[in-house]
Amino acid sequence: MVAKAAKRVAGILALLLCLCLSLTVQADTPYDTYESTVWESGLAAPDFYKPISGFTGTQMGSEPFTDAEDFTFDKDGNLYIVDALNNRIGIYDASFRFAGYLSELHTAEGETSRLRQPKSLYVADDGYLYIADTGNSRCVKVDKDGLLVQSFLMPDSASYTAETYEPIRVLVDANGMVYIISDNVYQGVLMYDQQGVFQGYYGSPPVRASLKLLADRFWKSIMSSTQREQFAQYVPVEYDSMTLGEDGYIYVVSAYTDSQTEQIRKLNALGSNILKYTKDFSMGKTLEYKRIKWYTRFSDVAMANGLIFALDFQWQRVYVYDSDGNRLGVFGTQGEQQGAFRQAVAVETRGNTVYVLDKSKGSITGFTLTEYGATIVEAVELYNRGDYTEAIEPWSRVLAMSANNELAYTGIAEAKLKLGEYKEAVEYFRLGNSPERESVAFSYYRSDFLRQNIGWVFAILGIVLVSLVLLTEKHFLAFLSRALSKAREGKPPRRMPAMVTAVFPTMTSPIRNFNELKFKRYSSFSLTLLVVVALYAVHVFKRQFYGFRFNLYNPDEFSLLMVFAVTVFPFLLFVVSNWAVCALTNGEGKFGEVATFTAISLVPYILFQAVAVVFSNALLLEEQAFLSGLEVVGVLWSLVLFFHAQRIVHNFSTGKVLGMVLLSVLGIAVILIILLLIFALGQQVWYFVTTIYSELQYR
Amino acid sequence: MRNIRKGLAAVATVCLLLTLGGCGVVEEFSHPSVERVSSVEALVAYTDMGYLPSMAPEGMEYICSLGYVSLFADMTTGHFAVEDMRSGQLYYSVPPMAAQDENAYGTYKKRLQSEIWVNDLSTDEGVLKTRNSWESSNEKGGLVIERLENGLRVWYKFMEELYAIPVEYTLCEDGFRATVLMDSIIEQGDRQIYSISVLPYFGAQSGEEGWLLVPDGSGARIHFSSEKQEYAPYTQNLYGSDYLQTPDYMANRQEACYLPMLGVQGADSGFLAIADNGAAYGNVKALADGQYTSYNTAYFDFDTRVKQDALIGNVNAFTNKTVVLYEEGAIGIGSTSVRYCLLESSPETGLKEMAATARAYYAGQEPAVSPLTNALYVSTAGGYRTKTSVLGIRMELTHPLTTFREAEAWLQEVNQAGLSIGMVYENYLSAQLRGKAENNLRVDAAVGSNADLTALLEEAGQGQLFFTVDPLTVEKASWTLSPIKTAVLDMAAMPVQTAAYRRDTWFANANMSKSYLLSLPVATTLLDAFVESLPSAKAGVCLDALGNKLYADYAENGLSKAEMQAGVGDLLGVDGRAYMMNCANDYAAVGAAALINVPGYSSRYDILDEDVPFYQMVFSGSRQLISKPINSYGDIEEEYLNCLRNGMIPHYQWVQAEPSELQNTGLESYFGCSDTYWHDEILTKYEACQSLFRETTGQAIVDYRVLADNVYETVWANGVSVVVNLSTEPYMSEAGQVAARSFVVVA
Repeated sequence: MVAKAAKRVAGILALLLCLCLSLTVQADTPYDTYESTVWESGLAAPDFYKPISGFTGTQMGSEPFTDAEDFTFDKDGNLYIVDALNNRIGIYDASFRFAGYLSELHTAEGETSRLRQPKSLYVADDGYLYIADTGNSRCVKVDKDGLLVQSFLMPDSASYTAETYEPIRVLVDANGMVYIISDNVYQGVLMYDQQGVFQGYYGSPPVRASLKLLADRFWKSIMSSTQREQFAQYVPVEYDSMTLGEDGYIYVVSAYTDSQTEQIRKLNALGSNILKYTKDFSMGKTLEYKRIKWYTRFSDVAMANGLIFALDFQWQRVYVYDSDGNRLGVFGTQGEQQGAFRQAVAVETRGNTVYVLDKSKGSITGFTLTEYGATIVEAVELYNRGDYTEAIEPWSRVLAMSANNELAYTGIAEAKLKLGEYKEAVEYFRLGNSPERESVAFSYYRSDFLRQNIGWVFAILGIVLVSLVLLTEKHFLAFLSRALSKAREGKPPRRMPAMVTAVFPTMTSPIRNFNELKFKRYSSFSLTLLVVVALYAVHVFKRQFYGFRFNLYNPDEFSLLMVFAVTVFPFLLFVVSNWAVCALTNGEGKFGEVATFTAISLVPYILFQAVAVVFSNALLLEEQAFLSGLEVVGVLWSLVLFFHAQRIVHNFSTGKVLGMVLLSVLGIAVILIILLLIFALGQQVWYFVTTIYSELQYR
Repeated sequence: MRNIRKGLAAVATVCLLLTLGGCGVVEEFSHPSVERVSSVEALVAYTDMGYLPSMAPEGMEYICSLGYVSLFADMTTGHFAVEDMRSGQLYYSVPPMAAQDENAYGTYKKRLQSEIWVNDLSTDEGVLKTRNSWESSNEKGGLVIERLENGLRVWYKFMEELYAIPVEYTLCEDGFRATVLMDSIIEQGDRQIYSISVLPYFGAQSGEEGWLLVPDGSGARIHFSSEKQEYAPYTQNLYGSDYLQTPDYMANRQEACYLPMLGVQGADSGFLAIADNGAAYGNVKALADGQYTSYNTAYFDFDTRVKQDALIGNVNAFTNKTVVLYEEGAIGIGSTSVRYCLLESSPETGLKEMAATARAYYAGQEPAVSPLTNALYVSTAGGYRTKTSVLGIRMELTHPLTTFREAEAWLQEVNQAGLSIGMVYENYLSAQLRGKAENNLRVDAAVGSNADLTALLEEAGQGQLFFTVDPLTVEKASWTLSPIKTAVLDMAAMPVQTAAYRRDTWFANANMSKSYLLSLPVATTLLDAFVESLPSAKAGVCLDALGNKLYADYAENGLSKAEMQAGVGDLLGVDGRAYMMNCANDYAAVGAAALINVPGYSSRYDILDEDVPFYQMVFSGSRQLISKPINSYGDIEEEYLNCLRNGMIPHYQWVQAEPSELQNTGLESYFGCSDTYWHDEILTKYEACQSLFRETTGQAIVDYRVLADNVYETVWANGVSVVVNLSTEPYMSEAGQVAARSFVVVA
């Protein structure tokens, strides 16, 4: 029996030795790594991290850890696993050999107590263990032999409003301040000194304003007190985990944030989030499947070598970010394979290896950087140090392995910018979808270009401006007409196109010209069509050719139908609604007149939009005000024309015009509701028929 | 027609019952019956090979001998033992000390003593339950044993469940065969049998030394006493899951079991089990010691009926629900059989012996073309389709990546330099890029003209250029084919569509079209038409999915999985052309001149300890084995070495296009293979490994050894070997020092 046990132990040791030595075990991974760009997520990429080893409790020589909640390493690399169900801490040496359990604590006075459902622990540099002894509603500071040095109990403070005290995470900073996250406490992290005295809250998360919150606040104001009690309460989100970064800052994560932003926060001394791009700490794009939204839910965080590792229990993955919040890679998935998890609960680092604790499997899996991942990390380090030109080589290697890596394009672009290769820099920034930096590169490129071509630029600008001024001048148009007639040697003068005679003068003298048109009972289907087509076209051009720095849409992904829905369709709705409403209220405008006058009033808007499209390709981000100004002028100009067009075509007073416009908007709403009802009914019928069909198929 | 079949089945059932029990009524089931077979006269008989059986194990009697194998059985319990007379080693159908196993409790102890396990479904409850023959048959007196000329036939009557399963255990030259007579299974009650596990603990071992071999991917071993009780047992479908069952989501990638084989290797003996009939419905399972019992075991499980998930209602609606459909009739494949080949092997030599046995099993099925001589492969894509918007008008355009002219220039450079580099060309057909039926060589204009293609073919040497074609899936209709009409039907008679899955969310990619899955006769017609349109016999054909996607067709005249397996097996090698298969299952792999994208790893399930190149060892020699594209991995250098470790020819992806042109293509591969970076690298790697593959052309890999931690040796039949050092330290081999992360070829 003894021999058998000895043989078994020897076998385990041999196995452990094998596992520990296997630092370069070749492996294919069970997960698909992906890159995300501004427009696309889930693009194929090589693996960033790969699994190298997996250990269960049995393999490490202890009993299985059946309900492990957390783990950590001390500065010597020893491993501590919190086994909540068994009320103990498993201690393993740096080679993952079992060293013993810590379950019973004793004081210097000889009093003993047992851990009860501990959830977390932290090992300070001085060797003391801080254990979140959740079942006993306390945190304790103990040495490795279980000598209880200090307890951190429920705060005896008026500011502590929670009914219970259930510590789930604990850590200690360099100054010895103890930070504790307790379940159901939403005011922030609890802060204690070394004497166990509660010092207050740290990093209180704010409640984010949202439309729903404002709407709920309105409803609450008119509700009875009973109704108010039943209504949802808006409280800040609770923190789920935290880690002490190598930079001395405390990083916290919240699995459930109110806006899916700031899931990871880097807290400064005041407790404020100073992480640079906090909005990017979610998946960016969430998936809605069967009407359920799937968000990233970070349940733990670790930091090493300037990288942030966030464990997402929703997708059972670890996301890796740099200190600027750029997502560098992702690894892990669900499953029974090495590198896949059933229920990953904690992430830690030791050296260059990232370890993940799987509560359900009762195992710890180590991951190490692949060649691709290491190259990215190398490039990011150089980049963050400002060694852009040195970073060009690793970034190029990254691109050789994955053309979908946007950071690599940006990195190369920075180097090109520094080397004065502005045109290439602009191209690479565009490939890296970095409008801010592209704007900087473009400013240099533009300066160079203007220096070389300033004469031509001013000449073209002058011609365009003079043409615009002349086209809006009626006398010039008359002169042009006469000149043309003369050129045709006495033949009767050809009529100038309606677009020219009816539209352009009206832009500068709307009252006189609209009255003239009204007097002539002028309506033109072709003019209206032309303007509507121009409106449509300018929006199409805007989507397709708006400057890279300002374009919020993917130029390759828009449909004519969508543009139609936001341009022509509203125009048609308004014309129909306005004509109908005004006809009922003694408006004098006929349908054709309403359409034509409304179309004419849109011309400034269209022209200015077109000019904005051209300028957007030549302006920098910091010159956006000019671009916005241009568009605003176009809109205001059109509004003025629109007001006069409405007043004159219907022969209304100013007040009545405003009233009729409001009623027209209401009319649009009614039309839309009717259309929506018809659509919804049609859809229901369709679903009904298809469901019946599929049911019959299965029977 | 269906009613007539049902009627016939009922009559057959009654007849069988009459044969079995006498009067064919349910009550008769309660009579236990054991046929005693006299065997004394055979005890001292030498076999024709000159071996003498040992004395029967306690409680058993001698049954018969053949070759170097003899069979003993306990005619009361039905337990039996097979003796390898060369060594005197006994393999028991269940562990002889099963009843005393301290680690097995309750049902698991009963299972440990069972020759078969059965999953059945109550038609009333709709719940699957697992039964074992010891508890449900032996203990209730439901065992009937018949003696056959070269073995036994045992009827396992499940007394309460009211069904009976006949299994024959017969000797063959190198071991014995367990055959489940599926067509003779009798079901009388409301329980229907859905799967049968055959000899789950046959030859199970509980020692410290030894391992189990599962055919997962390249092959993998589970070492004994590796303390894996916390992990899930190993279970995988043979040849992957039925391809017509499109899952909702795909969270992880895994390899399939391409070979219908498994092995158990103990301290001084082992066996290789081959599912030589019914593998299309087989599953491979393995249990490590500590998982329910003290024994390590691997075994086959066979489906007797098929189930399928079906969605009712709108796919996007919250109200929809998924129901499980079970096939009403049993799979009509006659029988399933597993051949157990006994080996005189040790843990060190077991893999070599098993591979040799497997090679012998496939002997005589080699491709009818000369072995290829390429020492490196590049695969390249003609182009990809991309949706773009031109002034708001949505258009689908072909974006070229490597035109015919560029491919020709590459081959020209390679051939002029005298390099043996093969090329696999994909995404070049007009129909291929547009998702239509690929039944001719009409090329996409963006990739090149017919004249360019002709020039490319002229440049290519014999067996150097392969054109990829996928006749199994079609997205859109063409004038020759309506995909809906020709698609395979599932159990609910719905046309089957396959989906691509998103890497980030795992669900089907809504941006990509679904493909209809075509039935084999239609696919064969398309393939024939394509091959006929090839202008030159020099051009090889690379079949993308035909060899590794197995599925049934529930249309009226549709093919079962077994029929499809046989159909694909007969397809190759009829025209003397070199065919390349994309990591094929064994029935398709045997006829291929080359196998590409061969896995270098297993699925790496938690329970698996070590990957081994078993697939490579079995099929090397007359077929070229080509790796997955090395430059799609995160560790490219390591992957190159792994490729050599597995004895596979390196394979790179390469396109002429600039890196930025590979951005946002939506392709699952070709994301890092631009000529800008890879041209020189590929040629360098070729130079490094070409001598190895030149010397091993046509040679089988006969041995694979782990020399030290992360140091491996692979040996070919002509004695050439390669020592691959994947560790970070130099390794001193018999042939000299092997630098860290390097390799040495030993001639």
